[in-house]
Amino acid sequence: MGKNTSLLDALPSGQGTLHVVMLGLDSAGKTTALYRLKFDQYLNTVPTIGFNCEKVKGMIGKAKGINFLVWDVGGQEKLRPLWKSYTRCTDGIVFVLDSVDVERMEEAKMELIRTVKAPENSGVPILVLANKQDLPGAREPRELEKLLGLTELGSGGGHLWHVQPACAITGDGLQEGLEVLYEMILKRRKLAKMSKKKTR
Amino acid sequence: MTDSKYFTTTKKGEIFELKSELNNDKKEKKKEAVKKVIASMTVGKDVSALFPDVVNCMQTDNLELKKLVYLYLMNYAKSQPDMAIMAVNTFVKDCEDPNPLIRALAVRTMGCIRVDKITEYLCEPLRKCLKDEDPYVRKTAAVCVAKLYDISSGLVEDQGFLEQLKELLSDSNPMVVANAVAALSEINESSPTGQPLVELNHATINKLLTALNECTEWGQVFILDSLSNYNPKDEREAQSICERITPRLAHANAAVVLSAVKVLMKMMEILAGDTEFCGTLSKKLAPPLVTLLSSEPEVQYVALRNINLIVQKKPDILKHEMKVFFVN
Repeated sequence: MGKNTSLLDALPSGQGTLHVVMLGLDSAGKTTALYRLKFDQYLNTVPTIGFNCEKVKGMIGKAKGINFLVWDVGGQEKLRPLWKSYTRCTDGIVFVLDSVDVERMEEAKMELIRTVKAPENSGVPILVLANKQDLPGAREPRELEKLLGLTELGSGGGHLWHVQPACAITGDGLQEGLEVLYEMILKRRKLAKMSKKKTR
Repeated sequence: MTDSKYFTTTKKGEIFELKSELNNDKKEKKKEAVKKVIASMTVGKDVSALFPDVVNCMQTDNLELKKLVYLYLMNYAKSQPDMAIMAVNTFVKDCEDPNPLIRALAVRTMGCIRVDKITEYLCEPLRKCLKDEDPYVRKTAAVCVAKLYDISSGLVEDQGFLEQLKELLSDSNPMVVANAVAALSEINESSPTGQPLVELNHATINKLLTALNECTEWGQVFILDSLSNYNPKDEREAQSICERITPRLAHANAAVVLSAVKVLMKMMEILAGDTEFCGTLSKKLAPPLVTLLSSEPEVQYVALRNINLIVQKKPDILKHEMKVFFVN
């Protein structure tokens, strides 16, 4: 069994591309994070009116060699109603958060809850990328969990979630986040299989 | 039971199938699906429900797929104005693509998307394309300005696109000059005040005349037509314009010939005092007009309509060619 999985891991996993959607308020750092993951360098970005789509490879841990198709969707207010056509059928959601912007934390929470509570997104793992950790005044993951009301999600909504501190400009924490997301996606699949067996 | 049962169906149908094919991970499958969508669109089926899925195929390095998606966008952006905004970022990116064909394709498609809500976002990429290093991109961008003017004239004026267009009149590439002239004439025609927004001056006229000898036949038509709206500052300038465009009378394209005739007629009005010059010029006008009368019927018709007008002004221009007007 163990042999089999390692063999599968070694194969180029072109077919096993996981779809991931990156959401979050405007100027949270979604596009910067995407291109840091893609090219491993900092690209100066402009507000995304629309979307970006890139294939990104996991580099560390269990996610090493795994392909992710990442959709980075603009976060401006008029674009938010359109998020739903991107979250449909997604394997995971990355919610990018400006850890410094306390003023808009409530707004971010609202958007996150709205996305997570949508019936078509039930059970999709959520990775909250607590971005801009390099800036003074950045809130810690623990505090952000509370501010976003994440604890309610796990128990009530059945969502797996994780808060990953990160800095998209330097790339710190991005690959780690991808790894955790990957693990959550696997875990969700396992749980789904088990519950299927039970119903049989 | 009511008759509503006839309207409900358990079949998910073609749209549903196409939707899942469009979201396929394999590039080939995706392209195949977009082709099916375009085919349905072409025969008149409404496939606008697939808008988000087709737009999601837009960011690809496959030129064929990109062209198909752009074609779809031109057709349906208007019916999906809210979703059309999702295409903006891809246009912005494509306008900076290393491949000039993609940059031009993007700027051309942008011009064909007539959605108010997104026009303002297209100004920055358009500005870049007007200054592009590749002439093919510049000439396409020039036409895009005219299209944008049709949607939002205020925006074009505020963004300084008219000035940029004017600068393109002195571009090093004749095709760019021709398209800039075409765009400017179209803008001038639709000017709300009836006053031309961009006036041609002596220096630009000289550049137009230089480009005239180097650009394609249709470019020549644009240039000649804009020359016919120009008022030379003196008789000498009028004469020099005449001399430089007279060779166009021997062109194989009837449109070029007629446009050249139009300019010459206009200049002769200004040069009415110089009977000798006008006399020789009139003699040169007759043979090309006669030649037009031996082309295909459609051209013949247009030629005759024009000759009708010309002889009203210059009754004796064809006096030695009466024979060709006899029907036998």
